[in-house]
Amino acid sequence: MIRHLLKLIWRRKAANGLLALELLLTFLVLFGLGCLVAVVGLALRQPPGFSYEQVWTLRLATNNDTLPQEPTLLRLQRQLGQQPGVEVVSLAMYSTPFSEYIMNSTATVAGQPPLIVAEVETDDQFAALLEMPLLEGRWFDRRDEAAGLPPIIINREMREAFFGNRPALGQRIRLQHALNENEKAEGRVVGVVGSYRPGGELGPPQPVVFRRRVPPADGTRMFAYTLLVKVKPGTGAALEQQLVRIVTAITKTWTVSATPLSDSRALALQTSLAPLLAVGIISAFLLLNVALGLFGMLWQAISQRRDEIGLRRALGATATDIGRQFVVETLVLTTLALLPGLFIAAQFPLLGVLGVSTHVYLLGMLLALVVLYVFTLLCTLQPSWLAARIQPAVALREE
Amino acid sequence: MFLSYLKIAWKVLLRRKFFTLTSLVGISFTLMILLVGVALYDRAAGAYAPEQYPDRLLFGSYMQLKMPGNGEMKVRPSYWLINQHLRKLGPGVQVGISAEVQAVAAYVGGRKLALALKPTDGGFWQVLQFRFLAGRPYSERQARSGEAVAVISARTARQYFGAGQPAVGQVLEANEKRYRVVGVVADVPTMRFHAYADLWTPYEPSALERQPEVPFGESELLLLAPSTAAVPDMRAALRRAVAAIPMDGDSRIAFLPSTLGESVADRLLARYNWTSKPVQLFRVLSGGAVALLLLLPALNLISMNVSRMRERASEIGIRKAFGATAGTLAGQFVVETLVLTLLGGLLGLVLAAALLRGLSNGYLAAYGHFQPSLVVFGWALAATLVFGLLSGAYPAWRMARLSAVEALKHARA
Amino acid sequence: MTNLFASATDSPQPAAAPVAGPGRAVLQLTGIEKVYQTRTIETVALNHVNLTIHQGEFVSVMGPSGCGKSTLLSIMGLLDEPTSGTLELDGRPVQSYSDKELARLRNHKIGFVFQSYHLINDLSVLDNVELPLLYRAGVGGKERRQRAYAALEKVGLGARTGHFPSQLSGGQRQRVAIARALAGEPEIILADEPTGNLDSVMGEEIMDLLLTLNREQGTTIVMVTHDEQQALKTQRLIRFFDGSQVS
Ligand SMILES: Nc1ncnc2c1ncn2[C@@H]1O[C@H](COP(=O)(O)OP(=O)(O)OP(=O)(O)O)[C@@H](O)[C@H]1O
Ligand SMILES: [Mg+2]
Repeated sequence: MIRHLLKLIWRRKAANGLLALELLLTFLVLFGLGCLVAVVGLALRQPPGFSYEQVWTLRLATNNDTLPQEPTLLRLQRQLGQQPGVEVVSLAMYSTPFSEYIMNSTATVAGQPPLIVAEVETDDQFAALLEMPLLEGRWFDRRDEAAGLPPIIINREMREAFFGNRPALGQRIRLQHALNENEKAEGRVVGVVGSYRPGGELGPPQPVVFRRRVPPADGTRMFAYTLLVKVKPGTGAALEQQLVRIVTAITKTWTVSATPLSDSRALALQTSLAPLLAVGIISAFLLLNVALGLFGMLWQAISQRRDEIGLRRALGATATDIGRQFVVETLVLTTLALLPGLFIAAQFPLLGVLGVSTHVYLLGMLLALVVLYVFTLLCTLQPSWLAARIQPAVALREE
Repeated sequence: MFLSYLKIAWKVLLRRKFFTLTSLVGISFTLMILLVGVALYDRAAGAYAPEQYPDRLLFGSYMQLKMPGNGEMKVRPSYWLINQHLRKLGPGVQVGISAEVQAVAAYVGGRKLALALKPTDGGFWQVLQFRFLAGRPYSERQARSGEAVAVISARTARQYFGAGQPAVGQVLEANEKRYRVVGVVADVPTMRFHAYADLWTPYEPSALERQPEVPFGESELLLLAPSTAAVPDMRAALRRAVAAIPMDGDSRIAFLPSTLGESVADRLLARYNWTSKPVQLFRVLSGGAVALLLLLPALNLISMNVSRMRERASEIGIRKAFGATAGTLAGQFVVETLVLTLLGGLLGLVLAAALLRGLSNGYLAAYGHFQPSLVVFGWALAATLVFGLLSGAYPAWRMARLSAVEALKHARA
Repeated sequence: MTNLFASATDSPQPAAAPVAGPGRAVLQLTGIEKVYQTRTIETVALNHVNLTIHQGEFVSVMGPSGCGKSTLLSIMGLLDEPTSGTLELDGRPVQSYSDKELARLRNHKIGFVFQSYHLINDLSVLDNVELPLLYRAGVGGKERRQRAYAALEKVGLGARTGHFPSQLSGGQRQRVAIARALAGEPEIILADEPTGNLDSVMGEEIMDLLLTLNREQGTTIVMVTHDEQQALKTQRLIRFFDGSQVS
């Protein structure tokens, strides 16, 4: 039967070819959409590794302050922590949740190829404040002050990349700033946390290393600091104003901007979803055109092929056979159109052009296939039903 | 003659309802999407205040820093770098400096008012044409000394001081700093990110950006040429000035100035780490989208016209057998297509206007007011006409070539 | 209309056809009426027809144009439903069959040769002839091709299997239509002017083919014809006039 239908499709290649081209183009766009959806979907399935509720980011720019910064910072943290409404304060440098300031380092472990990792320099409160799950070992604490080798905590991705099934605790890791060769550090792993992703739910999973911040030598000046503040539920603008006031009062010349993590998260989500929306709109429009094309072709085919339908009924085809013939014909056409599409789509993972995992491409292809098949099937149902209802005697009489 | 064609065309379209519907939907939706897309882009990159003269403007947001051994980096210039080395770019060229907006907070009666603050120099107000509703901009002298003065948007004035209250001369406190308001400007949509802010102030005197010998920061260079023709000279002058900046070691910097349109593309895609050439990618993506949007309805039109011709082959054969010329038959076809395209085009314009009106009042209210551009409408309509005629022309040509006997034979075996 | 067989004996028996004797009734039409209702007029295409076709019979139907011959055939072929009256196939009223069973019956029992051929333009001659076998479960592609080819050989078109209908003459198309009816090896063949477009020599050959089929395989045949000579070769001749049987 399929061979029979293939012959028919081939004979009507002028009309079918154009429709197949439409299907092919739509498939490619849907493939793009599918890949985007797959990226977002895969990312969303995994928790970001931290909790963003009731946490504010205070970004402090030191504005070239000439005074020693360390005492100011200490005072600031103490004052903020004492505010009613504030639960915990944590100081962190780089790679805090949703931060644009990511520090990349090259990490090396004996006998392993080096790995580019995001680095967070922070204190003992960070993990508790963000409710980060601890998988092995412990977070930083006072014990680390006397440690010989500085303590290091890594996230799950980094553990998997470096150690696989082997034990991670106690291993030595060397870190080097990705751009500045002079900034080096070495440490011993004391804990492993879940898959902390600074970009949030939609950020890519990546290896992250945490270092315990040690107050730098006097006279070291930084451009900026980030404070994370966990507040009690129900506190709002008044507390925020109070915090900003304290910062200004203590630091004099620093500028501060306070942003709730939930706001940063909403912005990040919006950014990630915008291309989805754009491609989605275009796909919807293309599908609309495919629907019009399919309906047009099928209705025209059915009105032109009434006597063929009548004849088939006369020769023993049931109404179901006729309906099925049109459905299968469309599905065969769709398949023919999709074969080159799949071939093109397969080039992406094969050539690895965009540096996305093969998983994503496969999911993208699958999604595009499912959407297109279901869609063409839906478009075929009504015309096929029409065709099945044609009375043979009437159809055969029409010239 | 034409009128009788028109009458027949109208009748044919009424009789062939599905064909008419499909064509109308295809054409009008294509036009609608194109018009809405262009209107959105136009709002971001068209000639509106403050970027009144987009073709005389250049923006230098990024520099390429080449360090031997360390590869290339994209960095933003600092205020100091621009102010020190790039002020003089030829006669009549206006130079402005501004930084990325910062989120600051003002508090009005226990409520937080989140404001976007943009530090600028005095030249900024010369390069961009803000519409001042009250007061005036701060001067270059005021900006240089870092005086605590501010220009605010009409919305900020309304929200902070209350509707109808005078703002100029008053004090606005944001992030614990007290600014004297010197001017109120009409709101700028967020899409106009070079200009957009709620609050414009001089750079803080202590800002890191302003410290000597700090070449990189968070600023951008804004340039206005005296005329469109002077833009290439301005580019060349910028290149020379950048080349003259003394650099340590073998490091090299190059400015990548972009037009308003390019910077919009850059901005749209820069958030995604897809490519190092966002402008090219944007062109490819939008070109591809437009091509697809035009191509699919065209394919539908062609395939319907082809099968329509097959269907009418016997009719054509009979007509020819009784003396109709190929010309009259093809003429009829062309008129049908014209009528259909024009109808579809009008429908598309109406749809686009309605959609944009809805968007301006709802989802996109913060981005300003949108209107379909009549110029784009004209072009898009011309494009569909061409497509329609091409899609009709091929079948018409085949029809004209078809001999009467062939047509009759084709019709029914 | 009490003695159907008696009316058939009016026509002389062809010598070639052995008298098989009346078998069981395959098709039994009782009080069949077909009325076409259009906006302007009401056409009575069949007016109270009673008719029995026995197994193994070769019946020819004659009558002037528009008297309802094709209508009769399409009712006997289960393509159309009568306005009133009953049709029994193998002793069972057709109304009691489901749509699916009817399709099966059309496929297995009946072979149709249409007055206006009804070939599918987009299929080759061979594919057209294969068509009835395509809807028959358990017939493989190879067997289908063999049987279609054999049927085409029988009508003298073995050399034209790859042609398309638009590349054939009217008579050739007619023969393809006949081959298609033969390919399914049905029990009953309903042929609507199968030799109408053929020259007399070709017409003779087709007639001989049908006669042989009737004689050797016992296929029941009902054939509409305008050719007295051919009608005389069949076992029974039924004459129609204005929707009624006149003999
Ligand atoms: N669908 C229909 N609607 C209205 N009238 C019909 C329809 N089909 C057939 N008729 C009428 O029924 C009558 C019988 O038609 P039929 O086709 O059976 O004639 P016929 O005997 O086969 O004629 P011919 O020898 O010319 O083929 C004709 O008068 C025809 O006009
Ligand atoms: Mg007839």
